[in-house]
Amino acid sequence: MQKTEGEESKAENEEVKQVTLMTSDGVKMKVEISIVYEMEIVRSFIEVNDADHSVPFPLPNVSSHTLDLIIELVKNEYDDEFMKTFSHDELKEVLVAANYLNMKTLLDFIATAIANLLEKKSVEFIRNFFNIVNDFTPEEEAEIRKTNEWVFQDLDED
Amino acid sequence: MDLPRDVLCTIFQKLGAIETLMRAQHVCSVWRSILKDPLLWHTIDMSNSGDMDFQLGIMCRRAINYSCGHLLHINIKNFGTDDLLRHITDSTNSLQGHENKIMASVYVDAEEPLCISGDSGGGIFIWEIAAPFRQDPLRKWSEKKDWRFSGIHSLTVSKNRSLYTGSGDRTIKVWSLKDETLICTMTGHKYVVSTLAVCDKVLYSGS
Repeated sequence: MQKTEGEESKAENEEVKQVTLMTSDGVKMKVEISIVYEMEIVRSFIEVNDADHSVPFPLPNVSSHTLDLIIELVKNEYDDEFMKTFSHDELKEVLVAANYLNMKTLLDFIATAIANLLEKKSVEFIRNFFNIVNDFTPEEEAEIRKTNEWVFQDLDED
Repeated sequence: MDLPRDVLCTIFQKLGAIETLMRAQHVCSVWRSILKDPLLWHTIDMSNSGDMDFQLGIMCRRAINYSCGHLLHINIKNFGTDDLLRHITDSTNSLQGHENKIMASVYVDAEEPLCISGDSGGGIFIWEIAAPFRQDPLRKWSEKKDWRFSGIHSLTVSKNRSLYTGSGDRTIKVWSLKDETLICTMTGHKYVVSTLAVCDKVLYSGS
């Protein structure tokens, strides 16, 4: 949109400032600056460069779907109920993205949520959750079971 | 997906020491090797409901071993034992103060949990063991030195907050934990008083 200089400064006062982010799947998303400021990786860039916000900031490690979820989480002030609608894959993607974007509050929130999910669950459940292959040898496995018999008791249903 | 090490460490911290030791370290070899990083075990918070103390002791020892002497904070509420405390003092260089060999230590399960240790030079040290963990003793004093005999050999605490020390000079001394004053000296043993225990308002000693 074309604006004269006078109109632009007026618009800035009235509208919420936005920053354009470019996700890994090539989607340009306009995000409120208050949310962007939680992303240390973007914030430091914006602050240093006093930037031209019209140039999209590239986020090669975050998909548009994950960014959508993150924006909604921040907008909802980290609402537990909303987070509970996430699939396991979404939880992990948000976790990794929060780490990459250096969003301290979000990382803390999502790590707590995942820890709560894993609490009192079997080792097998944890492996499935993170798609981890059990690389202990049968001998090591037997040794672990022998010395930690009680570890495998008192579990919640997966 | 491979989780970055930092992210995994964050999750381990959220899981807490007990869950981590019980299950996370059995997931795969990568997790186990990350979990053996002493930096993860600066703080060992084993907050618990008090219904599984046998396992907690074993797990706590493992956690202390993982800390490789870098332990700074520990919460062993509900399952602290003399053995465990001895293990802590043996494997950490964080509680520093004794100039002589530590002969005995005792855990005081009070509102503010304490550790009391006695050394071969007669030194008695009181340590705070609730977070934040202090590296220097809360208080310290010595029993009267006698060149013939060597220091404290056993310790116990009664419910009314008196400290009993078994000494190389064949006596048992009773100290007030409030102001470290010597309340009385009990004699009778012919050799070093090497063990002490309080049970149902009776003090038992062995030499």
